[in-house]
Amino acid sequence: MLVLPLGLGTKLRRWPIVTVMIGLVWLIAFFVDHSDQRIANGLVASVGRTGMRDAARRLFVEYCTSHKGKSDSCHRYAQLIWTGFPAKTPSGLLQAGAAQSKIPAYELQPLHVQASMQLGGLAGGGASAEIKRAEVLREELRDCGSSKTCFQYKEMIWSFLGDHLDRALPSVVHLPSFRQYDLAQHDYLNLLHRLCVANDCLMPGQIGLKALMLAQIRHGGVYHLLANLFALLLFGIYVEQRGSRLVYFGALVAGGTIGMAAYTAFFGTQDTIVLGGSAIVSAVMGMFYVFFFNTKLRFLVWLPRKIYAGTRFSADMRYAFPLFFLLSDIVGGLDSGFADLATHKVAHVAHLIAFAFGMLAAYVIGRWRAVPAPLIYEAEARVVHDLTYTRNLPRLFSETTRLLSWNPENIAVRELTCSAALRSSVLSRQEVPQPLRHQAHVFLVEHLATVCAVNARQGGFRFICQLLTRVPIWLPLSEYLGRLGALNILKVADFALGQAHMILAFRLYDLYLMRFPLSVNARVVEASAAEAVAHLTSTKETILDVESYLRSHPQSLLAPRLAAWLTNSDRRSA
Amino acid sequence: MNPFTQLATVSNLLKVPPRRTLASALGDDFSLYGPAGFILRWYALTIDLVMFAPIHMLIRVSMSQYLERLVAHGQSGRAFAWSFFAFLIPVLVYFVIPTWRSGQTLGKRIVGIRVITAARQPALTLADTLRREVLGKAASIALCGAGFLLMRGSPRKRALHDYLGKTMVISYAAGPSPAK
Repeated sequence: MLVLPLGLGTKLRRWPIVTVMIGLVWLIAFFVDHSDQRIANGLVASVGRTGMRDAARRLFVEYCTSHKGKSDSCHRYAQLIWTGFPAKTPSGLLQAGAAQSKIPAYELQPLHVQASMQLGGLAGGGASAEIKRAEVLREELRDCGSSKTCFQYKEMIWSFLGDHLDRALPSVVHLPSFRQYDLAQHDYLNLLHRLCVANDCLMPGQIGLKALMLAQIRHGGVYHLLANLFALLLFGIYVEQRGSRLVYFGALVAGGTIGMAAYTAFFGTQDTIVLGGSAIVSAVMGMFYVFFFNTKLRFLVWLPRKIYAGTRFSADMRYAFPLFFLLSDIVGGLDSGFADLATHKVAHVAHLIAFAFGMLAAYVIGRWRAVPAPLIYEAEARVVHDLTYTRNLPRLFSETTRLLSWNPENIAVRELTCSAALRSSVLSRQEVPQPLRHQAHVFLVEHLATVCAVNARQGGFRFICQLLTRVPIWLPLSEYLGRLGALNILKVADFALGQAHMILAFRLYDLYLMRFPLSVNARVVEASAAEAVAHLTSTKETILDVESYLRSHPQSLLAPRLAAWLTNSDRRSA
Repeated sequence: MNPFTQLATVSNLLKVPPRRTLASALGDDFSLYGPAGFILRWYALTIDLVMFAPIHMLIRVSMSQYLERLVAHGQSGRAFAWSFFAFLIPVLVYFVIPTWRSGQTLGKRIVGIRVITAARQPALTLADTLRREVLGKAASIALCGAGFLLMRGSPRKRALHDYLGKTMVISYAAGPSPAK
């Protein structure tokens, strides 16, 4: 079972140049710029040169034993601190193998937690063995169950890993090796800072414009890049259609920059190196949510039934989007890594900030360049506005088809074209060319029921009546309203009756009885229609309408009653 | 001023509230809709689980540290009670309340199916909904999914939780069927 979002799933009205260009820049930067490898190597070198790993482990052992931990266990669990990094090297050079390492898929994360997990596979044999031992320990601590001792160690490791770089725990400050650790940490942070200055990377204390821009272009690994590219293309291509490309570009860069800067300044630990385009993606997602709030999100579900292609569904954007995308970031932001000791992989807070900025930007753009609710693109509004004044039916049909391929929810253009097709009596006039008449017929078959259903839901019964009274009397309504629900048919018929559109009301009741003869309501509807026939006023127009209706639909269920009424009215007039 | 804001559909200008007549007296006839099949309901459940998981995680993650501490300190009973509570809240918010109010969860709405009473009435009681969504589904799962498979042999495609909640599920995506 897999659920994959597909964005709006509609055709694009123009090439998403800005989105594609950003994706290309990311790709080029990934293949050309190897700063992530330089940073990773520099980081390993810094840890080795300053003896940070040994100092931290010594401090942890003292911290652990001072909290009633057994010395053996404390030494054992100390391997979880800076796992895979080299011990202090006298020459300051890296250990064999570690120089070849790189940090593959980290993004916006504290290096001392994540890099330590990922270096092992690429580092030398000793480090690799240490990584394996650390994995066993991590698994051991994952579910402590009812073991109080296990939980105590877990809590100690977690608080030590989470806090020791930024805020020295009060119980740590007085430990004998704290001074040595403090010096090592100072040296390490200095080296890291210098490394970042040399490579223009983004970290607390080094938040410059250049670093911010470069950080949004660089990615930590191929999966990181592909995930961001997928999300950017999925949402960006639609957001770019909404209006000006320049405004779109400005908003997404501003959103990404603010998200990254705010995270680095207020939420990152001192050795957090921030990189990746996900803040940009989050800003795009924020805009996508606001711009297309009233539309539907399409997604693909794979189940064994159609494993080869999946099945497409549409969901209301307003509910589905937060549940699909936003909540996972909120959950990630809440997860302090306690449960499995290492979930600091992604800077969820940076995503949330960028998302909020994207929403705000979209709201401002929406106020500045407003588009009426059923429409979603500015260009769409412009075309609909132009079409309002056209009398050229072929153009109307082709433009409507084009508009609906961009936005299937566009009810305004459906209403416009249905009205024009019915108003021009294209279906009845013999001089109209057959292809055009056929085109109008097909359009009405496809869209009239939808127009009626949407208007019935919104209370636009008068408009529905205006449309339906123009359907030629010889045409059965079932041709066009085949997909209209039973309740909607009754609602429109009720309204028509109330507005003295008697023939339309009878046609609709007839439609109901023909389509749903086995409904439990059929008898009541028939009785009600019969009563309405009995109260029909005998005017010349009504008689003519009834006569022509009976001529065209002699098989209708109300035909006998209408025929009886006609005979009676003839007698009365005689 | 932006010219697009001037665009108003004809229907917006002609909105009139419907009169309360035949349609409002009769309501929708749910006997016109066929029962939803196993595959369609599986789709709905899949989508529901994808949507439900983050809500559950939101509550669960925020309580995880506390729960672990309770278990470690030998208060398993209390931890179990809190875990159950952490699970029940999203179940109520996502499954029970929407089903009770509208007969649909988000997944069901997307797929186009709806829960109604076995007597084909739209209004479910809270007790029936709780029996269906909490007790019934727990029973269906506890029987290794056999409760769900029951619908394949049932004439109105009712699963175990449908029988317990005196409900059935109809498919309305294709519109009412003219013949039953």
